Parts: sequence; structure tokens; C-alpha cells
Amino acid sequence: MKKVMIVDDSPFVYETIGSFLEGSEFCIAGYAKNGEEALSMYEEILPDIVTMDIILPGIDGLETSEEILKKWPDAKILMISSLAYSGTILKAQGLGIKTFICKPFKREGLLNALKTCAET
Amino acid sequence: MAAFEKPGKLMPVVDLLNHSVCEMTSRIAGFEMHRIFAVSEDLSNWKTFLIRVKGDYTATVLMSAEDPVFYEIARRMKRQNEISKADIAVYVTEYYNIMCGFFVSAFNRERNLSARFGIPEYLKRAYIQNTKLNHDTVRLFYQCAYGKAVIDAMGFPL
Repeated sequence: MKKVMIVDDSPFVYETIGSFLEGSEFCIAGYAKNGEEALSMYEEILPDIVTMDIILPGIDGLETSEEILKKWPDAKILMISSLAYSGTILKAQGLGIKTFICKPFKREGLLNALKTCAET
Repeated sequence: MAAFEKPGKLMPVVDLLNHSVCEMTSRIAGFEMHRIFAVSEDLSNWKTFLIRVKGDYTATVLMSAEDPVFYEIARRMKRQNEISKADIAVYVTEYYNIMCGFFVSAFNRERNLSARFGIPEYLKRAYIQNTKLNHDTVRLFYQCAYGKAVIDAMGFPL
């Protein structure tokens, strides 16, 4: 099983991802509600993939990703956000993030994005 | 998004906003919102969610609704028969985040602009007043099986 760490302040997203991962090759290994929590949790659980929201309380998802990638350059991050236009996508790509899906997402879309993220 | 593709002609803000409200409510909460001409109810008891957009332009989007509308959105998102007031704030905030994200992203793509917003604010009081609208305000009214709602988009370059 591949370990997924969810970074999102919304329990709705956590619950949705949890139900979508049932019966898949992925499992939830950690849930952080903000960027600060994510940074300390990453070191503890060393997930295979991080799902990262952009809009977070405190430091946002782009800054959190940048911090994670500074310390762990091989970290695999799947950006999941409601803000999907070239500005945010280009910023994420500039950090080295290659996979991005929009909210609201479906099970198939999430699993495909996780597989793509795991392979890159 | 195919619904937004209109080469050579910008989709009016009102159409982008209406599409976002109807499409996202259906996909996230699983019920239909229907646009109506106006509401006659007193809005003073309606709760309000708000986002502030900043970047190439500065704008605000706020949504006020009768309590049962927000209750039903949260109940359906949580998939439980009974929910608390705290649940309403948490789940409707995410509904509003996704709906506004859909709208602002579509607007930015169409106009080739860049702007973001933070976490939606839950005002717990009516923000929309029955006043004359500014020239840059789009106001839409909705009816669903659980009550009525009003949405204002202010400051989007028309």
C-alpha cells in the first residue's frame, strides 16, 4: 500500500478522499489541517504522496510544498484545489509539482492522479 | 470546461456565476438551485459566506441564504441525518470555497487574469442589504427545495 498524507483544512475533503481510497492501492497515513502541521507530520510518516490544498490557514499550500520540497526534493505532491487557472498551475509547476486536480473531483480522477503522481 | 468556451467573446460575469452556482450545488450537494427574479423575504436573519479576491483585480463574492439551505448543503456533504451548527460552518465553507474557486478560476481563464482568495468567511449575519447596487455588482437570486439564496459578485472587471 502506498501511504498518502492529506493536507487540507476541510474535513469534507478528508472524508471524501478516505472513501475514494477504499479498495485501492493507497491508504491514508496522515491528515494535516494546515501547512505547519504538514511540515512536522511529513517528517514523522514520510508518505509516498502528499495531497495538498492551496488555500490553507497560515502558510498556504504552495509555500508548504516549497518547504517540503526544499527538505525532501523527491517528495511527490498532488495539488488539489478549487483554484484551477494558469496562474496557480504555473506556480505549482515552478516548484516541480507535476500533478494537479480540481475540486470537486471524482474517484477515478483522484486515483488516476495519484497513480500519475506516484510514477513521476 | 466546455461550457465556458466562447472563442472571441467573453462570457458575461452573470452567466459564469450562474453556471458556477447551479453546477457546483448540483455536484457537491446533490440538489438543484433555480434562478428567480427576486426575493421578497426579509434578509436580515440570513447567514452569509464571503470571499475576498485579490490579485490583478480586487473583488468580493458573498452568498446569503435561509438557514435550511445551508443546513441541507452541510447535511448532504456530511452524509448524516443530523448535524450541528459547527458542521454547517465547516461544510458550507468548503462548498463555498469550491463554488467560488470554480467561478474565479473560470473568470481568470476567460480574461487571462490572475487573482486568488483566502478561506471563506462565515459572517453569521445578513450582509446583503436591499440597497441600490453599484455598477460593478452582479446580484443573482435562487430558489431551491429548502429555501432561497442571494449571491453578489462585486468588483469583477465587467
